[in-house]
Formats: sequence, C-alpha cells, structure tokens
Amino acid sequence: MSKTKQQQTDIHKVIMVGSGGVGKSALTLQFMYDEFIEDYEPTKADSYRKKVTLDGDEVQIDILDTAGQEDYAAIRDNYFRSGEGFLCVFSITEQESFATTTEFREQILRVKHNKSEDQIPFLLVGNKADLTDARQVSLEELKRGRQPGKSATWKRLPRREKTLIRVCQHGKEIVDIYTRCLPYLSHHNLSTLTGRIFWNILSEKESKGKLTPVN
Amino acid sequence: MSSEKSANEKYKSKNSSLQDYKGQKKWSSRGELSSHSSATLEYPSKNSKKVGSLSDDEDERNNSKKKRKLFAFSSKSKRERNGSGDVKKKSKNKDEFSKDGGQKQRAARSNTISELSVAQVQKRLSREVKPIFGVELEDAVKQSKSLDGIELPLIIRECIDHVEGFGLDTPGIYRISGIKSKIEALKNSYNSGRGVDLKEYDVTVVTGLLKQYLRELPESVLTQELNSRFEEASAVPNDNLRVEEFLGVLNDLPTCNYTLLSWIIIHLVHVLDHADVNKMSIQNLSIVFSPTMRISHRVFFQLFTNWEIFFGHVKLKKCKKPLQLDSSGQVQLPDGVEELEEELQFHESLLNKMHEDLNKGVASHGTEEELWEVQRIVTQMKRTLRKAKSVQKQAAPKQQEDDKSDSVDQLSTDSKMDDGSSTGTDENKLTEGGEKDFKNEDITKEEEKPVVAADGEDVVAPTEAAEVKPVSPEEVTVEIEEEEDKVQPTKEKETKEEKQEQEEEDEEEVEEEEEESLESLYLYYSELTAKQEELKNIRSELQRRIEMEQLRLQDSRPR
Repeated sequence: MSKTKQQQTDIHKVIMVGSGGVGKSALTLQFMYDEFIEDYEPTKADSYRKKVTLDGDEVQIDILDTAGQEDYAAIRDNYFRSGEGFLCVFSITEQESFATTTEFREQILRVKHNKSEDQIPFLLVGNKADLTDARQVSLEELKRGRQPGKSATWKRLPRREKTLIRVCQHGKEIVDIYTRCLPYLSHHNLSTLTGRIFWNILSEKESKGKLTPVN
Repeated sequence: MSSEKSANEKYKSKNSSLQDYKGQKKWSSRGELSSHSSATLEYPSKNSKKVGSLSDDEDERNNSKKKRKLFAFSSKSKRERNGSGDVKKKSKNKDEFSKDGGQKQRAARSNTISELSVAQVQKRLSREVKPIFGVELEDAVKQSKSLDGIELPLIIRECIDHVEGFGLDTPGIYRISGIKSKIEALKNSYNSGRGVDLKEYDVTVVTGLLKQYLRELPESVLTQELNSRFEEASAVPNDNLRVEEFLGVLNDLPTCNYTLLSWIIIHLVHVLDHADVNKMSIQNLSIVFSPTMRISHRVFFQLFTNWEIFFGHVKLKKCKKPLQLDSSGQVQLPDGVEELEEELQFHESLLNKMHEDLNKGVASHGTEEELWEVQRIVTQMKRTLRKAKSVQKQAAPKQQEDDKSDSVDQLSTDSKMDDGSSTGTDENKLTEGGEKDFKNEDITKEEEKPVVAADGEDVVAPTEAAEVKPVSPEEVTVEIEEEEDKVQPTKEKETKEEKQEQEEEDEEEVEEEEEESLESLYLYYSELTAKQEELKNIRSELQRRIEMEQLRLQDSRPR
C-alpha cells in the first residue's frame, strides 16, 4: 500500500481552522470548485483533494475543512496530528474570531508537541475583507503583528518581508457575496513547500502559472 | 441604547430557527461522540435510549445556550449583511453585542479546550477496550457495531458473510471443527477490537469461531426467562396453535436476541438448501447447534420448519465495506439517492468509529491517514447528495409547468433551428418529456450555460477589460503591498474598483434577466440530463472498481 503511495504524487495535508462562521468552507470550496456557498451550514468536518502542479511538479493537496465550534474539538484533534500546514481563518468583521486565532495556534502546538513552532506552517487569513463598513480588526493591528499573541514567527518578520496579498474573486451570480481575504504569512512559511501552496491557494490561482489545476 | 436592545431582541427571535437547527446539529454530534454510537441515533428500535440521552443533552444545551446564541448571532448578522445593504446599523448592534458577550464567550471556549484535551488524555491512557466474547449480547452489540444499523456484533456479520460467500458447499460445514489455535487468535483479535480479515482463514476456522462466540454467550439466545415458554410452545400439539404460541414468545425476545436468532436460523436454512452437497441435514445441524445455542432439539426443529413464518421478513445483508479510492484518489459513488444515503450513513458511522478509536487510543496504525480518506468520501457523498436534491427540487416545479404549456417545447425547437452546429448527446432516460425535447435541452445547454451559469469570470471579464482602468483583471485580484505607506491609496483604489465591479455586474444582470427566465427553464432540464449522464458513468465506474477491488483484496490477503 505504502509503495503505491510513494509512486504517486506527494500529498500535502492542509487544515483550515478558525472560529465558526468566518468562512473556512467558503474559502475551501472556492479553491476546490470555484464555487460560492450562500447558505450558512456549520461544518462538522469535510475533506477534499485537489491535484495541482506547483513549479512544474504535480502535487496533491488534501484540504480538511474543520468545524469552528468547540463541540467538535475532539474530532479536530485527530486531524491536527496528521496535518502539515494550518490555515487559520478569521473574519475582519469579528474581533473575537481574530482573538481566537491565538487559541487555535496554541491548540495546534499542543497537539503537535514534537515539533517546534517554526516547523509548523501556519498562515493567518483575514476573511470578508470586502465588508469594510463592518471592519473590527484594523489593518494596523494586523500589520503590527501583535496578534496572534507572542508567536515568534510573526515577531521575527523583517519589516520588508511583511507582505500583504489581497485576494479577490468575482462573486458568482450575486454581487454582494465577494469573498476576499488578506492572508498574513511569514517569510519562513513561504520558504516551505506548504507555505508556497498556501500562497497559491490564496492568491489568484493562475496569475503566475504556479499552481494550476490538473484536468 | 433601548432601541438597540429591542433590535437585539428581534435578532434573537429571528435567530431561533437557526438556533434550533444548530442545536440539533450539536445534539446529534454530541450523541455520537458521547455514546460512541452514532448509529444508534438512526435506529428506530433504540428509540427509548434516544430519549434518555436527549434529556442529558438538554442540560448541556442549556448550559451552553449563551455561547450558542453568540455564535448564532454572529453568523446571522453576517448573513443579513450580505442580504441587504443596511450595514451600518447592524454592525453597530454587533459591536454592542460582542463587547459584553465576547469575553464570556472567549473564556468559555478556552475552558472547553483545556477540559477536552484533559479528558482525551485520560481516555487514551485508560485504553478502554472491552471484550466481545463472553459478554451480554447487548453489550457486545454496543462494543462491536455493524455500522449499517443491524443490531448484531460485527463478528456474527462477518462470519455469516464468509460462510455464505465461500462455505455453503463445504461438506460437514459447522460439524468439522477448525484449527483451535487459529480460532483462539481470531477471538483475541475481535476481543481487542482489531480489524480481522476472515478471508485469510478456512471456512472451518470461521464456523468454529462463530460457534465459539455463541457458546460463550452468558445466556441462551432464547433467554433464561423465556426458554421454558419456548419449550411449552413446542409441545403444543396443534400446528396452528403452536405457531401462534411461538410467534408470541418470539415477540417477547429482546431486539438483539431476536435479530441474532433470526439471522442464525436464516443462515442455517441457507446451509440446509445446500444439504445435498454439504451433507448437513436438519438433524445434523441441530446436533451441532443445540448445545452451542442452548436450544433444545424440539424447539430448534420448530424454528427450522416454520422459519418463513417466524423470520420470513428478515433479510440477511452483507456487511458493508468502505468504498475504495482509485489511484487518483477518487471514489466512485453509487447512483440513486437512496443508495447514496445508505452509503453516507455507513461511512459516517465508520468515521465516528475511527474517531472513537483514536480518542480511546485503540486505533490501528494508519487510522489517522485513513481518516482523511473516509472523510473525503463522506464529503463527496454529501456534495453529490446535495446537488442531486437541488436538481430534484428544481425539476419538480419545472415538470409541472411543462405539462401545462407546449410553448416551451416550441421555443426550444426554435433554438435548435438557430444553432446548426451542435449535436446533442442523447443520454436521456427521463420519462416525463420524450426524447426529442431532451435533445433540444442538451443543445440549449451547450450554447447557454456559459451565460446563465454566471460563472463570475466569464461574465465580468469582458466588461472589465473594456473599462479604462489602470489595472487589468488579474492585477486586481492580486495586489502585493510591500510598503506600509502604500496601504491607504491602495485601499481607496480597491473600494473604487469594488463599486465599479458592482455596477458592471448590476447592468449585466438586468440584461440577463429576460434571457434568464426562459433559459433557466431549459437549464433545469439540461442539468437533469447532465446529472443522469454523470450517474451513469459513475455506476459503470463503480462496477469496474468493485471488480478491481475484489481482485486486489484477493491478491493482498496472504501475509
């Protein structure tokens, strides 16, 4: 079994975390199927796989969309252990969801205690960036890198590397359901493969020809 | 402040439906996790237990009511913002709300995090694996679930499956005993909750295992208290009265005992059907099973001869196996909503079982990897089901309209005239409309889908390019701001663009609207036919997969 797996392309496991209702599933489905979901249906857990080429290499990305609610924490933990990288989503319109990102980070570190903080790719994503009127998490706050917490990864960022990508995709059919997100990622994250996958998941997919869907 | 308060109240009441829904969701998940038996929730026969756990959960729900309200509120307010343009007022309310509620919520959440992880560690340490041999049937059923809703321990299911599949023609089946050490090894595996593949073993080992299990049941299947009534019933001289008596006693058996008895009897009837080959007559079977199951020959004989009356409605079902992924990591799903739902239920149970095992610390190596795959299958099924259902929903009203007006057919024929190039793929099996119409639908689908489906980029891109903007569509989507100073201007630019995009799309929509009303009708049909085609492919692929899987399993068995 393991032999066949090695013959296949690499599989990278990415996990979406974040409080309930911040748009993890929306982001995931957008990446997977270019699809917008309109109805709010809490996720328990969902897993997807997508084959993409990254810098000419074919890789498979497994995305696990988790529940934001703590009721499912036990289920989440089981996945955390096998996850490689973590995409932590918050909503810029909800201060609380931003504050919770710290807790998620800590929980991940607890589960993956055999790895140091630097070894776990972790990417912070501010979703719903188009809802500027309802913004609660200011750009300055994010840029200062004060949150999430005292994470070394964020602090270590040289100023010039502190990069903001703005992602937006056209809403499907209904105009006011844009999803835009502001990912904040560290230089360190970017140097890893998973980091680059993150980058490409979130940035416009085909703009640089880096990450293109197979089939 | 007071007006804001009343507004909050309003939201709460609006939220109630959402809340209920969330409550249910949560409840069901809780039930699954705490009782370690998702499957119980769906079985009508366990209704009484369901009620019990419900009241437990009620308390929990009350405790966390506050927390959920907060969740519900935030999600709802987000929805409303999307729905209407009235943003400012709502966000104000939200500010108010999250300020006084946020802290509690946060505290509550961090509490649960630590509590849960402590509980998990404890669970893992205790490694609570209970044996299934020698315990009450009911406990064994709980301990070793069949996952598809049949209340039998997995071992019974797997043994019967194996014998039905490979052993019915074995001479002396159930009479010839298998190698003791192997039976013992299998027993240990089952007791420790490890997965077992019976295909590696001789039929005699499997039959020996089944008998051993039945022998070690602490009580006869007929139960201590009912046993004498069975004896009395079997002594009734009148045939009809005897059968009636039997039905009465059988009815009093506990559910799992009844299920076990019926399955064993039906299985043995299958063995009897092959009696000319396997040489096992009623007498022979009775000699073997009477002491094993602690059922007297006389009662046994009655059960055998009248099995159709007693258990005719019971059907042996093969123990389900999880769907397998092909080399590209895809899985072929069954077509048909019902089959899909059945599979979904099974896989969700499987998933829950895996989570339980992981939390208990008894999961076999590689379960964490499998978790992703099974989860993916479940996700895929859910998606397929949701799609199938939405197509159904759309199709239902459409078909009614279709009956009323022939003009629609007329129009679709017209569109066929206009379009000379296309050739419809006729994969149509739908009965409602007749073949000709469907060909038309296929054609209209081909030419119109790009517009109606409103794939955002298709629609917007041309107009955007036409706009005299310093930024091309690609650049709009990815902007990298390297310096902090740039943030403000870029932001402004962004909002401008936002407005423009919105206006553009508004125009677009007005234009489309008229087309859409007609086209959407066609679209429903084309979606249906496309779906059918898809399902057809899926079915054939699934068959191929099953064959391959069987070959693979056979190859990989010998260790």
